[in-house]
Amino acid sequence: MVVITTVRLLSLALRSLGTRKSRTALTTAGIVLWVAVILATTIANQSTVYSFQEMINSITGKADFWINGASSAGFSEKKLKDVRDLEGIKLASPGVSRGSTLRKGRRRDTVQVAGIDPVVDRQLRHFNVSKGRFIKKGEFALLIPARLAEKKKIKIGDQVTLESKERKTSFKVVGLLEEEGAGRFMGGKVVFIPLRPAQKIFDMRGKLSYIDAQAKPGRSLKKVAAQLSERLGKRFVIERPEKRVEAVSEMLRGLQVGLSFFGAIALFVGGFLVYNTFSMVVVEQTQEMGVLRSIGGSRGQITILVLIQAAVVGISGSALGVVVGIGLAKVLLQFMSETVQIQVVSLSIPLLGVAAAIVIGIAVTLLAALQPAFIAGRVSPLAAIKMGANEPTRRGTIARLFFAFLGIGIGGGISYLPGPEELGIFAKWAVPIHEFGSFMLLLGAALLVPSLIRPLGSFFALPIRAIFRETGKLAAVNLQKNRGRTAATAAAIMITMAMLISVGGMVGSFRESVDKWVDKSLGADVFVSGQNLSVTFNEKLGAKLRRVKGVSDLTTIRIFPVQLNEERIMFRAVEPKSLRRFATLQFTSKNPEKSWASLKRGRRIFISNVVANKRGLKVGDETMITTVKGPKTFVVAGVTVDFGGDIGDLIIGTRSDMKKYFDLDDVSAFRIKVDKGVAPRKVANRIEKKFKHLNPDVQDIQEFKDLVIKQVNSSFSVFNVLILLAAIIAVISLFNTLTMNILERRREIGLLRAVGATRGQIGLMTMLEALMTGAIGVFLGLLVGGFISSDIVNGMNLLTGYEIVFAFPTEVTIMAVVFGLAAAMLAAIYPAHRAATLEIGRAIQYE
Amino acid sequence: MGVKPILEASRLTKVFGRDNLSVTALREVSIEVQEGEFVAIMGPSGSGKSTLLHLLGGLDFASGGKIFIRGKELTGLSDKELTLTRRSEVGFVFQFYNLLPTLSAEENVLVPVVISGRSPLEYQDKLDRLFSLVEMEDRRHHRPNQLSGGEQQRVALARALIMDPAIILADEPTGNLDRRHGREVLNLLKESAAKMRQTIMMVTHDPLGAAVADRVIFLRDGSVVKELRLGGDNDSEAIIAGLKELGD
Repeated sequence: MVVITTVRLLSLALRSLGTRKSRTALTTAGIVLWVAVILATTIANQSTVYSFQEMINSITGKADFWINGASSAGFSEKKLKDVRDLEGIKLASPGVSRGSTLRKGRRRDTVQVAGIDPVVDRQLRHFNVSKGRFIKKGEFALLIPARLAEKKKIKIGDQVTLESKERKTSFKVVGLLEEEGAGRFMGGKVVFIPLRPAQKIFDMRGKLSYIDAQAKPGRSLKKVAAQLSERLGKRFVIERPEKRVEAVSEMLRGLQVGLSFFGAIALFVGGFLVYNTFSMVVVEQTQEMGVLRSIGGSRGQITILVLIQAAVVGISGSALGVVVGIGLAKVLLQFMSETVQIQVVSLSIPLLGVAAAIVIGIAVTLLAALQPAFIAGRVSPLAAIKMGANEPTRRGTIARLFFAFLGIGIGGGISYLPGPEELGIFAKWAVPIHEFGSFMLLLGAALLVPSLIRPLGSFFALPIRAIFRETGKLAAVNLQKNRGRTAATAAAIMITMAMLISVGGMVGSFRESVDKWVDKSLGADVFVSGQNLSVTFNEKLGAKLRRVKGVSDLTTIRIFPVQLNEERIMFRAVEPKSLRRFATLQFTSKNPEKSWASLKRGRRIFISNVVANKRGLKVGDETMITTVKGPKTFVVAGVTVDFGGDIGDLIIGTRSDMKKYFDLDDVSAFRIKVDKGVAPRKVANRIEKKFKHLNPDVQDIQEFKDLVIKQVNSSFSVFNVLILLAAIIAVISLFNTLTMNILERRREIGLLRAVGATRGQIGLMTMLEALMTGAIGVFLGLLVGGFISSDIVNGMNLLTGYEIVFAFPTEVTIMAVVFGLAAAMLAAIYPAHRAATLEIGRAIQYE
Repeated sequence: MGVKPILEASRLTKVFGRDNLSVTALREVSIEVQEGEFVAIMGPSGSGKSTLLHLLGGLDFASGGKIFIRGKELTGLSDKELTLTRRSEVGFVFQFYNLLPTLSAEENVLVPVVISGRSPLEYQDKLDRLFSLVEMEDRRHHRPNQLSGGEQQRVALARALIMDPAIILADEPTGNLDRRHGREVLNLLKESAAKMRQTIMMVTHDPLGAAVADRVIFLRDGSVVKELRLGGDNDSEAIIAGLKELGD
């Protein structure tokens, strides 16, 4: 019987939704948006990780091990036989890999050159030659991804030049590769040539950069790895490709946590929207519900009636949200590609994520509609005859205040929690804990809003009353009349504002800290580097650069990966003497002079504060670095602030150590100081012109800074999209609340009109009320947003190990204030129009 | 008569508010209504007519006294029990009809059936008879906003009758209608009382309206002050005289 009744109630609920099409559509749109945000962030997260995985798989092929020497200078080719002779190894493919300039005619482009054994490598990796043929042993021929060839107008049979350290070698293009498998290596910016010519052009005769090896089927990879390291000795790094995927996932974790946080906020704002809507449904349908009660409808049936409406909106909104979410994920991925600097090719749609988004969508909708539904159930049958507002009970107020202060207490408390070190076993959860704190703070603040409406409303009413006199007074009275409703609107604005300001604060603080770092730590006027990290220059280029007119000083940098305590990290080799003429490194450790002096002694390193925080290292600690001479201890001589390397994950050592322990003598970048009074760009132009054949990337300080700032901005661009969506949801919520106010006050507005209020006055009154509500929301948003943004910066420091100083985002705040007030007014336009055009007679008869 | 009354109220009291601010709307009102009887309640504004109706219909709780419908005591019932009683024993007709705007006339009549969890199919014959009674056969599928006030009130009457309630409580059913439509609705009430032996209790201000009843109960300041049995030739005059006595 219950089922039958529920089914019949369903049709009643559907009718009810059907008659209020525009509001049903708006509410559904709100749910669609937030379900889409949740799903899109999940898809974007997973797709990014999968893209990395796929990229690594495409490079890896069937290889179980990557074998690298301690230095990117390479290792003896004889080791290949050692590997192949091992009992557990099925296949070992040698390779030489370097960055180089690909030239056709006058065009120059930087590509990665992979020298491979054409026979063996094809058994290990997937090459799909779409046109032409595969390369043969020893020939000066190359394979190029079809997309790259098309872009550079390169055809099969063309002769192209590969330039490396002033050596130019001609190659014939023999085949085009599809964008899959090996063709995706380095994002498709790669060419494959046979091993011998590669060794020749890179001065690596008898040497290899790497060996990729495949174990025999059924062998324990752990055992084979042990065999390998025993046979090769300690100067080799044997890596499992999965480990790189793990490292990438770890790197992405910060971004993912950030995205999830926004998902949670979207959920929160969305919950508000649903709550507002169904409160409105109850207000509108009070009389109908009273009729149902008077003719025998039970409380439960009325509650179910509202919940069914919520479920219908929730289900349709969630289902549509999935479709929109997939579309939105594509947009997010565009931004994420910029942020993580990898081309995310295919969408990976997790079924579980889709299911979760739908379930969360429906559950949150039902949960948010629960209170209005229960209130509906409590509607007295007498409401059929007369309208009666459901005033919140005192007990309700006390409970609300209790939870408000609980939320604020938890949120505020968490923001003062110590860093990961002090958190001990919870260190891994430091960031989610802080985000939970921010969430609780928002929730607590939102619950507190109804109690703040009276004082804040009176305050903001002062100027409105002074300017708009009687109309302003009426608006101020209305504002106070239904505090619950005003509070819901103000809270929605507050949350959006808080988000705008917290993200603004986060980006602004990061940008400012990076800016300061660039100024102090780089100290150069012109930067000369390769187009990518694997392109290096001959050391002798330094002397030539010094002779360029306007160059007064120069220092070199070489960046390369090393294994530190068995983890991959970037090593930046510097010349301490010349570097110090350029930059003042910012030390977080004490006594910089002592640190510099120590570094010069050799086998000493500076670590970035990121490394110090993430790996728990401090001055005086010994670390183990794999060198060409085997594993060697390097002592930490200082801790510096650094935003370079893999998001600050780097160590600094001396160039002489580099030569000694890593067998390298080339240069990644030159930093140049120009003569006084000379424009850096002028010198940069001269260098570009003179060394055109090396295809260097030459930037003056301003360009370099702009680039860094651009990178910072693009890193955060994905958040902007999410904020925009949250803002849209908030505006819909606002619109609903204001419309609800008008509905509730139809009779009163009708009366005002009857006694002579003009349409203009009624419209203005509604707009002023919205303005005051907006002002309350904006004011509270500023407070909460300011606090949360400083907490987010804290959280970011915890996660990344950076030391970012919180900078209040003045510009964003001004924008947010304008937006908040404008959104409130915008959302009020239609309700104001509706109020102004109410038919007086009908409005009065409303009872 | 020896027959048990279908509705019985004894020493019914209703006080609104508390302490100094309390208002007594009904003071120890006792009433008996027999099956098939049509009773009108009259009295000046604030005399407690509507309050009495609400208490008898289980829309509100009494502060004191007892109510029995078909021998079942209403006072002391929980909200749920009261709801179930309302569902099966009471039919309401309101001044403003109070139909659900999203449903057609027929669907509105069937709402009590639906919320009782019964199948509307079982009620098709009854539905036909009721629409024929209220002479609305050709307007069954119209929405309330497509019907006149009188038509809406007739639909409301059909809705009140569909579950065969013990009693129909009508709160100024003609208060919002013009003379002609008001008369039609009153005749319908009278007809259903006569034809279906339907017990009806109606609050009204209109002496002509009250004249269709079998008995008129006069209230003043929350107490029954007079009762008038009708059926004579000068019923209307007697009612007007009764009202004059009340000072209305």
